[in-house]
Amino acid sequence: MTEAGESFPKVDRMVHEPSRLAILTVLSACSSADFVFLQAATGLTKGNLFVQLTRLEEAGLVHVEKTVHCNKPRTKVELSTWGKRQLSDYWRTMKKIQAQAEIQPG
Amino acid sequence: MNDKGRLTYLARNYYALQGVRFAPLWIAGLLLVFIWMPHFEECNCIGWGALYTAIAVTAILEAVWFWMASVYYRRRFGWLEPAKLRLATPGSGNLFWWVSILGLLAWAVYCRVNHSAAFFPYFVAFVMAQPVFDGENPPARRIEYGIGGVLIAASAPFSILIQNNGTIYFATLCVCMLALSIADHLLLLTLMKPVGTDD
Repeated sequence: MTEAGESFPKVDRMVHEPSRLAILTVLSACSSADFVFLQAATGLTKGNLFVQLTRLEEAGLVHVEKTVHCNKPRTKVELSTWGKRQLSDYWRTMKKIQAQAEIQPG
Repeated sequence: MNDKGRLTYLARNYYALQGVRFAPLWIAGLLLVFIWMPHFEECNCIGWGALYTAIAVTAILEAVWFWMASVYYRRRFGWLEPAKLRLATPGSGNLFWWVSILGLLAWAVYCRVNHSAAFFPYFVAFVMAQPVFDGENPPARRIEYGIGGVLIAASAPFSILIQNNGTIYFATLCVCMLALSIADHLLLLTLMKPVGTDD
């Protein structure tokens, strides 16, 4: 008897968390987005979004750049090459898990 | 539409859903059609000056509105840099897209040979109905644009039939595009929550 979940492929917990996954999904569909767009699209609070972006930046999944546009600060966020690879790996893993769950009896 | 689909669709179509930016263009078109066009032939020489003035004023108002609407969207919904220029997503409508493009191309050549402008209204209708051919759009948006495109295209022969100098065609075009631009804005509001200006 194997331990629970041992036969399933490992999921990257940094990407798997719903808020971070939502941020990464938005960024994967555009070149870059600002803080306000991410907040409006994901529905996260300012504080939560800031924390999640900091974690993603520390993990090297996104690049955060603070610029000034029309005398107003703008936080521009972009998915890194590593982030793109990790996100596509994540979706591949999820498909594998789904396929395994479908073939397993019960 | 699931959450992944919603977020991806939003990021790819954000600027296309900012319909309110072009609303004054269609309102001005409607005003031009109903207020000014019936008196066009009575005006004679003065008519052209009035037309150019009306177009210039409309262009200035549209530019100011476009800038104000862009600022509103940027403050309330944010800013993004699109990934790349995308044409219609290959999918269910792809074959129809190519058949239509080739058909319109053949018709354009025919019209050019016969010195006719009959091609133009249908071409405009086809361009305006582009979201119909993008499989990524929600079914409701594709249906709305499909109905709009059909109405615009159908108004062209109707306009010729009752010989009203294209007034019905331009009025239909303006009404349809105004309704579709408002529908796009409402769709954006259902897909994302505007950020308050107070925080």
